[in-house]
Amino acid sequence: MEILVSMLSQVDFVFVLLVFAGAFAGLFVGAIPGLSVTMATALLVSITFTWSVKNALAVILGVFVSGVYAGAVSAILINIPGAPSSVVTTLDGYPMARKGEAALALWAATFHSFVGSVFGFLVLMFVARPVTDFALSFSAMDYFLLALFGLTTIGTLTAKNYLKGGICAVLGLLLSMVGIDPFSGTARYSFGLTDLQGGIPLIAALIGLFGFAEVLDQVARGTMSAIAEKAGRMRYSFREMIRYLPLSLRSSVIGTFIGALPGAGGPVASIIAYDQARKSVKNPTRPFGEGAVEGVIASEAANNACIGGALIPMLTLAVPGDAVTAVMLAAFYVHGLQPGPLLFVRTPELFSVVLAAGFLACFAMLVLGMTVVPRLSGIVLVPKRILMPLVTVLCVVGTYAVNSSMFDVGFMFCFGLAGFLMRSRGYPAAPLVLGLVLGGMMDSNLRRAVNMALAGDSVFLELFGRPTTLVLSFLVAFSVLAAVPAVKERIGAAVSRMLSVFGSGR
Amino acid sequence: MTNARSPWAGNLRHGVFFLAVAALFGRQGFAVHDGGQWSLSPALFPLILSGGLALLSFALIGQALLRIRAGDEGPSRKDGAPISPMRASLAFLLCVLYALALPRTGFLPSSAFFLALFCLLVGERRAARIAALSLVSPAVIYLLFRHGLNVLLP
Repeated sequence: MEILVSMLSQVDFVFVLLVFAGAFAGLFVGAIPGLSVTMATALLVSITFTWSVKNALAVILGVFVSGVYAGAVSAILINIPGAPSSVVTTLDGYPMARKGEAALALWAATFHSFVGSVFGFLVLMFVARPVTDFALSFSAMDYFLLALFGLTTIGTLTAKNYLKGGICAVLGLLLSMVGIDPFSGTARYSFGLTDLQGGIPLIAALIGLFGFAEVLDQVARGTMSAIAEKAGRMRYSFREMIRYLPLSLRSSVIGTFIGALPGAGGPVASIIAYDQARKSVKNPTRPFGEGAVEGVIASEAANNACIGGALIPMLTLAVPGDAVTAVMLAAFYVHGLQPGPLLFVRTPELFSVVLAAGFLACFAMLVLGMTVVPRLSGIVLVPKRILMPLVTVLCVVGTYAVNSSMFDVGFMFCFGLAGFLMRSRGYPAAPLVLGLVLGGMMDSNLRRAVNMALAGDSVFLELFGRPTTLVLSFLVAFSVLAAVPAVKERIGAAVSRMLSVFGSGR
Repeated sequence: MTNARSPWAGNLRHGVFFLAVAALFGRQGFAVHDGGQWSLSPALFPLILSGGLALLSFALIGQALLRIRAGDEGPSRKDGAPISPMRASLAFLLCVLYALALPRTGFLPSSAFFLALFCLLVGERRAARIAALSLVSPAVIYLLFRHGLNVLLP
């Protein structure tokens, strides 16, 4: 109750206005590939450093919440994820748009992103400390296994032939090794090119593999009518909201927890939530991957719930959960504040400001998502002979905007061609992109884990002896084995045998 | 036996290609090993990954060989309209020319020219629509990105 009163005492007209302005800007920043929420937040830190902390946080959180959600808009409408955490949304969101349900997909993304965001902030409000303690008990090996679990899952989920999904995930990881190794300073796989020493440009890969590959695919097929004949109904019934709420909440729990793990973030959360949705939803509207609204809901609820999760270790321990919270941490220091355990003691009102801005930003996102975003679904009605040339120019502009580099644009075209060839041969792009995103984290955590294990008595026990590590190792092994058809059949037979034994005993 | 265009024969070729990629990455991985402790080496994870890729490639080859031996023709491809490599190549070539022209001629003229050519390539024949798209949209994008969002354009 005390915290509610404290939150309400922070809210005034200017505060609300700034949150809405931030959310409006975030909507565009998130939806345009190449403009990231991290970039926008960093810009805002420099713009707002003379403002009061309260007003600065209002606009930053508005951009943050709305920007993460808006990544789904381009993912659904034109198959270009606005950010890596929206990659999984393309799996069902774009097929929905092609089947004439773009507006429904956007509504579902809006409402369940709202549920996810609110859930994340509620967890931040009530159980920040225990979540932080559990998240910090994760070892380097646990982080490695968590990312590996995400990759094995997405690899087997997105390809008809699990070997092809696995190959794409490993290729993504290998490509993420390109550039200067942060541990030793050695250049890896840069082939003497200085432009490659900074690594493979992620946004170029993302835009190329999803956006430009789609352009080439459509041009090659010569299907130049609109993406869909209709944008679909412009409302999302109350019954549907309630029906999908349990799935949305389950995904939000996953998203909040993974968000609280420093470095894991939205991409991992959305994959794992998508996987649990696929396993737990018995009768999806359509098979997953072919336009199931449940896939969009799981992915979007999880990646938005990450926001509250990522703020937990940032506020309680000054450990940022993701790139945006790292920039926010910098904003705190710029304003002369010291995040961490003493933040609540020295400036307790700041916690209320963050919560008030967060909840208001969720509300702003919902309002804008319901009023502005469905109007954008008309994009799917534009004939492709008009849309595809425009998308190509936007792909170029979005890629160039990140580093002002034509080298990145060249990369984007190469990734686009690779994506087109992969697609026509049954190789999914999503595992490759997620391998690129997670590779650096896996590399550093594996080496850290091996080094720490070598310093102990038993390497094996040091690596796998902890309960969390054992659970994660089991999950990885199960995920890999369950993808092999023969093993899958045997597991299914064993489960039915067990069930029949229990049945006969009754 | 199965014909050379069956999906399994394709997978066999892909397996060999990925095996070569694994060998290339593995060789380069060894090259970055600094001779020190392996657990600290920048080559550790790349070499594990190269090994993993080689393993998966062998599995893909093995799977293809087993299916070919079993006389399996593979799943039928029902992915919509057939793909024309010629159209895709022309579109890609046009995009490469656009990328080359951008730093030399600037965003507005090269984009206008590119949009007009791309529209013609994908079958748009109405001159008014082509002119509107190629003249108005680069200007809107330029105003939005350069002046609205303060983002540099080529």
